[in-house]
Amino acid sequence: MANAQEILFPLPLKGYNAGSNINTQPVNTTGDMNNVRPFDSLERKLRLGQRPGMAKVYDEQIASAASPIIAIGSISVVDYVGD
Amino acid sequence: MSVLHDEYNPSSSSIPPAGYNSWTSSIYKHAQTFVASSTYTITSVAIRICKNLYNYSSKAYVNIQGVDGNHNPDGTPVTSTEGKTFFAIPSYKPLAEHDGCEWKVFTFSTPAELTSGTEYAIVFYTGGPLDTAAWANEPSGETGYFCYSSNGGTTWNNTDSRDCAYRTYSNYALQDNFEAGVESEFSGGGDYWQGQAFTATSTYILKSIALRLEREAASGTFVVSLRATAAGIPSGEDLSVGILYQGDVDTGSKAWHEFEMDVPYKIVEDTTYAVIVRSSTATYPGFTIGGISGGDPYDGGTQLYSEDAGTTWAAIGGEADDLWFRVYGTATGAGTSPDTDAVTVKRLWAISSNQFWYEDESGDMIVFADATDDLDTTQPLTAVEAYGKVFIANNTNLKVADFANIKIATANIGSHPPDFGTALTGGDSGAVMVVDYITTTAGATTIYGRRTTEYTFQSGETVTGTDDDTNAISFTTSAAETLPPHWYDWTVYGNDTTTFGNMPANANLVAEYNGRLVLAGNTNYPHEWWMSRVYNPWDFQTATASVSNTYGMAVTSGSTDAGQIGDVITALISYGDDFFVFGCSSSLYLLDGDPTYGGTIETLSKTAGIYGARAWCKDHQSNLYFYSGEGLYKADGGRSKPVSLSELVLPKWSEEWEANPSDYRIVATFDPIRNGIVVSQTALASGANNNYWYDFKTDGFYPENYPDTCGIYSSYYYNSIDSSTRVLLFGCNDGYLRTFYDNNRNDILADDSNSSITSWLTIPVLPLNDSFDCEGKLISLTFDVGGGASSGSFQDSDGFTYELFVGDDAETVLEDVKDSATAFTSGTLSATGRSKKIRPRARGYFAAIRLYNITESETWAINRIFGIVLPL
Repeated sequence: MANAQEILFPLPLKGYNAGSNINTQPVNTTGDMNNVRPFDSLERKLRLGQRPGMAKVYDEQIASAASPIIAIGSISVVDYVGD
Repeated sequence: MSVLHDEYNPSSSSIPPAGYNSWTSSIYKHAQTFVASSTYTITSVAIRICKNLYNYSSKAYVNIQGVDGNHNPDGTPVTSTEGKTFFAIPSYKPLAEHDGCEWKVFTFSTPAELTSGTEYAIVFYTGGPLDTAAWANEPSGETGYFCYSSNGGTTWNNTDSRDCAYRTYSNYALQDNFEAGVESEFSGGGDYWQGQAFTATSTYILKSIALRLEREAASGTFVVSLRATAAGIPSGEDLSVGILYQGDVDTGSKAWHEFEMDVPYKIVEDTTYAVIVRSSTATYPGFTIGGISGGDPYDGGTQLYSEDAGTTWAAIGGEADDLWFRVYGTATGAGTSPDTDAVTVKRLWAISSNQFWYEDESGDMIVFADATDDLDTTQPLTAVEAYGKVFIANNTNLKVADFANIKIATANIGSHPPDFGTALTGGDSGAVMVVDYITTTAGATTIYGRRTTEYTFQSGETVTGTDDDTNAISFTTSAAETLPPHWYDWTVYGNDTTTFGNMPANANLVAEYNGRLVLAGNTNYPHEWWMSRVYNPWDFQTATASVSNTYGMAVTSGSTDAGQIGDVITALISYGDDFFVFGCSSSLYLLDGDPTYGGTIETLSKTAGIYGARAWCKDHQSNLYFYSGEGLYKADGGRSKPVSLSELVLPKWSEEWEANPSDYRIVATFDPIRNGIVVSQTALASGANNNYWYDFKTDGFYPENYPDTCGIYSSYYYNSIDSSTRVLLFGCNDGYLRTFYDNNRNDILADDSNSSITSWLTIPVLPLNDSFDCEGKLISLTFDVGGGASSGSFQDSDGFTYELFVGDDAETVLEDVKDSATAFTSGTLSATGRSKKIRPRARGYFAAIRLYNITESETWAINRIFGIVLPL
């Protein structure tokens, strides 16, 4: 019987790949993942971790209704003195 | 106005509702409490007054008082009470027109020091029981208590759920002044100007000048200026100017009036300057000014006068009179810091449910009421910023949200309307504006333009200018100017299609390209595009048989030799360095150069098109990424042939997403913070979504999904001045603007509840023996979980569940994983760092490990997984 060997499970840092034979899966890819990013949300290190959560930036609900925001942008202006 | 300290400035203004004494009078007093944000000497207060009902020639009063234990005024003013005539308060308006309210300044002759953290009350009342005015008041609870008294201030009631609009100020440091002796008065007005020479006692930056003024019935506008002197006499032009309007200065008695100077001029020690005051009335006297007669008590200069509107001057040396004055400024030289580096403000805007919302001064999103229901958000819509405005293409709704221009109006523009770029001057106010757009060229007209002075246009004044053909322009304003924002139809200049051509009847795509506004997406002519004149979004006059082509003029796909596009335009993509990309249904075209100056249209791709108006983005290097319907493509620099990034990795992307613009919106968003792209597919009806994160550093794709209410319909990287909102924004299905926050371990729903993130990952299937014909036994397994030791410098990962699968072939193992078959063994790790050694003793040809977490308020990261295998 052969000697015990150390084995390193390769992390799929290069993400999702659905285009390969399972036996020739490209290195560092996987055929099964969801809501995982290569740079984790704790330290933004390259090691794999759960994606960051989505949260409100503004308290206001646009149009005060549960309807989609279809366009966003910003505008730069110089305010008038006393404005 | 000196230095602003404390403020409540709501975006709208109502009068206090019934039950709170809607009106202020000598009996019905109002007060607003606030907590001083720092220790300072309060010298003036501005409050926002909505209207007075009877417009009697009475006075309004403001003072500062301490508060009692119930947050009501304690009856002891700490500042003097200064009266203010009602003359300047906007006259009666119906309730629906309350936006006519104005900020009015009350200057205290006896300032008082306020202590940081102490609550004070601003008390507002008038001189008589029928002399009523209203103080702008909104439900808020943002600042202190709104107090109301029905018995002249003897007793008070209050509420902390409403607030009145106020601003408190202190003066800049007093640098030079003279105000000794018994006050006398001197007259001025019309061509008769008054002045006082003074010698600077130090070097400083001039900020404001205060004088003791009393006006006659019709003084006109007051102007105070600073001039250099030669031999003690004013010399040269004004170096800095400040203005007050007639209504800002009282009749009947003199009071100190402070003029904020437009140029922060550097005053040099031991140099003699002249303070000059005049008023615009044609009659003399228009005003009197306080000073001292005889004795020449001020050594730094003497009183000055001019009888020919400042052309020639004389000093009253013989009589040795001196005017009283105060010159305020800030220190200069070593040790000073700049007040600000900000030269612009940024305002976010968002469109939803037929409404246009924008960010106000305090960073809150508010509705632009004029725009409501002037858009149809069931129809395609795009918008672009240019020239301080948002230009919107929404089918037949071509609109402008104008954040840059003031607006004036006239009942008759006269025979010579102003041209684009004409300078107009107000005859009474001295205000100047550069015309940008007018609604018509005859009769009643609204004029939009950038005001270049601090003077503001007044109602009933004559406005003059000279048009491009040297014709004299003259008309009378029908109302005082209105500050932006404004909402109006996007038309050609003055709606004059004869001179300025025609815009398309409808469009749903708009962009800006080298100073031109570009339109496309016309439902009748979907292959066509229109470009305005360079630097003029109101001019669409193209070359015709009778009008020859000139560089920079408006152009369309039908009027240029640049070339036609043979596909339906789906996206407009502007590049600053002189090229423009037309994304089409199944092709891609590049406009190289200017179409009126030899520009050509070239084909970038005849196979890859852009799915929709938002299915593209650019990265830091201006590389173009777009979703074509078959996957994600990249065109280097925006002008190279596009190549697919996903065809080998996600060969069934198109089938899986079943992308159809009738049912789904595709948005591609570059995230400059995390260096990648979110490609999202969101069902228009439900918000159900599929998404991929494409990471630039790993060149990999990572599938994601969000709660339906968080489905992405639009996105924008907001390079806000405020770092807290300098984020990648997503316009979501439920009307909220969201972003990815690293510290958020959940998705946050509309009601602020948490939605746990279901995350999983399968470590690639691995053989357990170097020989595929032999089994192996995994006898130990160890996880290195992110975070190192518990607590410490690095943030700790929460735990996750692991499942170990083994089988005879790799595909069976992966199938078991995906089908959630029963794992050989599983467990949950709850500690960070290196886990305890797990002893699975799993025998097989292949093994796979799945990690997952579905727990609310948890996130995780994995550094490494390793084990010991015994080949069999």
